Amino acid sequence: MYGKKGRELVQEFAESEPGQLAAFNTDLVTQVLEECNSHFLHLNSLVRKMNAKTPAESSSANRPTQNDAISNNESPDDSEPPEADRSTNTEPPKDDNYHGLLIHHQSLTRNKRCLMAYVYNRAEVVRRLGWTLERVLPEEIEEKLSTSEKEYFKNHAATIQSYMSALDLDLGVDMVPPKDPYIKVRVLDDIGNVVLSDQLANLARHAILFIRRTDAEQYISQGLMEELTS
Amino acid sequence: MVREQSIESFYTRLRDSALASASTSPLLVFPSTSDVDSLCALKIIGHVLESDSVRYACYPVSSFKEINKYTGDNLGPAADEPITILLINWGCQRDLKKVLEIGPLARVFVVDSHRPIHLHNLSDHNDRVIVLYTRDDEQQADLAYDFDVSALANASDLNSDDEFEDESDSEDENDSESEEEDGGEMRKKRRVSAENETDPVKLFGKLKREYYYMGTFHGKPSGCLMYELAHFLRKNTNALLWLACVALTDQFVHERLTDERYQAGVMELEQHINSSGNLDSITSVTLKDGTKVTAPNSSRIAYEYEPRLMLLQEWNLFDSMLCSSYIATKMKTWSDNGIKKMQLLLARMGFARDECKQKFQYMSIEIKRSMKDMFEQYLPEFGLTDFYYRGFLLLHGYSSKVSAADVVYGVTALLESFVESDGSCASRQFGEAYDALSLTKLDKLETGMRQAIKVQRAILRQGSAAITKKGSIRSGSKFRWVKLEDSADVKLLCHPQALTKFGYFLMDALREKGARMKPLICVCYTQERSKVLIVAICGKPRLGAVQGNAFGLAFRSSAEETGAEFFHELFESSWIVLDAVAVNSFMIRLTEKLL
Repeated sequence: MYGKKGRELVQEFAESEPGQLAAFNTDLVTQVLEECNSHFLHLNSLVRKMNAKTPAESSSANRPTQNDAISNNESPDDSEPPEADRSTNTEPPKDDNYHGLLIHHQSLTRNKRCLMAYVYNRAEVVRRLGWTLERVLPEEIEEKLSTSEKEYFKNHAATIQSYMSALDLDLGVDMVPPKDPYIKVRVLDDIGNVVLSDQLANLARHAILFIRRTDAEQYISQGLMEELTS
Repeated sequence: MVREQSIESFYTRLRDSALASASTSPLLVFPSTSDVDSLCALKIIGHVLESDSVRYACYPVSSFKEINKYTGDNLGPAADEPITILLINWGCQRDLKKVLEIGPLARVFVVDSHRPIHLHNLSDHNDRVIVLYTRDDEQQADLAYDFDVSALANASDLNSDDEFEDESDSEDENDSESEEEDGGEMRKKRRVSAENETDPVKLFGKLKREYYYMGTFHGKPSGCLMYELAHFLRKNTNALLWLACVALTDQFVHERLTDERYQAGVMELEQHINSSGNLDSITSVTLKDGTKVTAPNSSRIAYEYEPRLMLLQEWNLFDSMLCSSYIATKMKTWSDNGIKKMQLLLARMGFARDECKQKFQYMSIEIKRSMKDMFEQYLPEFGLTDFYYRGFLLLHGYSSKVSAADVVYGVTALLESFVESDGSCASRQFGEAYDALSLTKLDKLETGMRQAIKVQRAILRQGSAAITKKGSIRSGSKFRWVKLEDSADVKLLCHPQALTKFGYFLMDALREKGARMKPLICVCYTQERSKVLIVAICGKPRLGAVQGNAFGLAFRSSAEETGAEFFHELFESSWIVLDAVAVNSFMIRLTEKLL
């Protein structure tokens, strides 16, 4: 059935946990692309046949092919106007070729939408990773990405880094705005005497501290402190 | 200045001092790991400090010198920056300026329920130490002074070396003992003679001796004092009120206050409970179709008559009756006869045995409903007349219901369940206990309650063994003493509060046997086996008693005389850790001293 593979691709993404990535399904993507190519070949041959049958109406029959070429690069919505065009301007050539052409064309654009949705949604997840992870991807995630996704992540992370260094601010912490500038934490390891923003504090193991959030952040992200909530 | 009589001005001074030194160091808080009261007080004062954005760092400590580990040189005379520290539930019994070597730039604030307070800490000339000691607390103490403590404190010379420890040579000791024997009569005479005394130095010496030789006792729970502060500052919440209830119950469970003072405390807290909207809080909601459902997520505090049964919510009725000190000692549940008696009681009340052995939560609702009436009807036949006491409950959500006494048992067990060989320590357990006290972490509290059950079973096993085995409790003229040797239970009982509970169990059992009441000294091997923990218990405080627990001084001097290594830095002077080989000579010396 036409378009089935494309649907499977989208389904695969939709069924995975939100924010999680499954391995990039190269096989299925290749199969969908092959299907697209075969649609395109069919389409071309059908157009040629129709042109041969009604050379008089070549001007209107040519239009769909041009539009196909465009819609391969742009949005699939572009296929609407020519149909409307045809129904008003000329008498619709309602032979087998015409219906075949329509089916192939619709299947092609649908496959394209599915492919785009798959790649785009994965890219969104990859972008989010750029905020939550350090610059290096953990291996278990990296092996799930395609080459271009890896490249995308690298560039995106680099962009974030350069933005943050320009601002001189770590934007990765506190994605949810804190209620209080202070925080109550428990020290989980012997850190020793440390200069916090303006105070000298002994961060001994098991101590409970009420300090500035900014002072605690680095230790919390290193796993040396835990936040205490009442 | 030393004595701060109002909680509000104490806090204002604490906050101002903390903010003044905030540019170099946070306020350092040192809570005692020895009791639940200190934990409650810490949580309440922590809440108040947080709402004032005062940064603090809190290090739990279990003995006097441990504080130096955290402060380093910042506290001493060489320090060049101001520093503010707050001690919770320890410290006021010793001359802090001397013991902790406090320099001129340091300020030490003390909230402590231990009494007596060292006079040097109270003296107006000692501005490095500020002790919270309210007028009410002085007047309502279990042991009353018949002189003005402040005046006495101000008369004392700060640089004098005449600490009460140094005074305890045998001459003074005998003097005070004779005073004890003759009781009030003698005291009156002494006072008359003291008033006639023209030499102020002698008068001062006499009063001072009277002050210190009264022995140790406890004042108002620190948790309740801190709640008063939160209340005054309009920062009180229901959660803090619950902590105050737990703090008061802690003193009650560990027999640190008289019944009269407990009643007064309960009444005060009940008023707070009533005025904090616990009565009319929404407990049921009517749905559109008219069905009534209990509202979830509403937590409220209730006060009710509670049975003296331990950890009922986490246990079953049968075992709780079998092991709780109150019933166990009266019915002697360790003997076959005792168990029969208890089963007879259950049968007469009409409680099926299977139901009683069911986890309490799942016990039939009829039994739960009729329990109080039945117990009140049948228990007097067995001589148990005050089985119910006024206690506090926290109701949370649909089914969670926990009594303040069970929280105290559970949290105390957590505080005292560290095993040095697995690397856990008192400050780690303090963190566990800190979590267990918050309403959202009930699973930790359950762990503690299960531990408390183990401890109580060990108390029953060891207590009944000591009672039934001839010669295990040795009796002197002034006190009895008992030594625990069994290695499995020793692990559970070698902590001061657990050993104290064991002692009270024995005293209750001895009273039932008709023995004359004498103080009891319990000796128990610590985890290292080379040392023993010794705890002295003087019986439940009574109103109008002349003496508290006066073993502290005798302990110290006896231990010094044995020449063995000892550790007398725990927060109760009636607790001491001693070299195991020296126990016998220690006991001989102690007997001689108290003759």
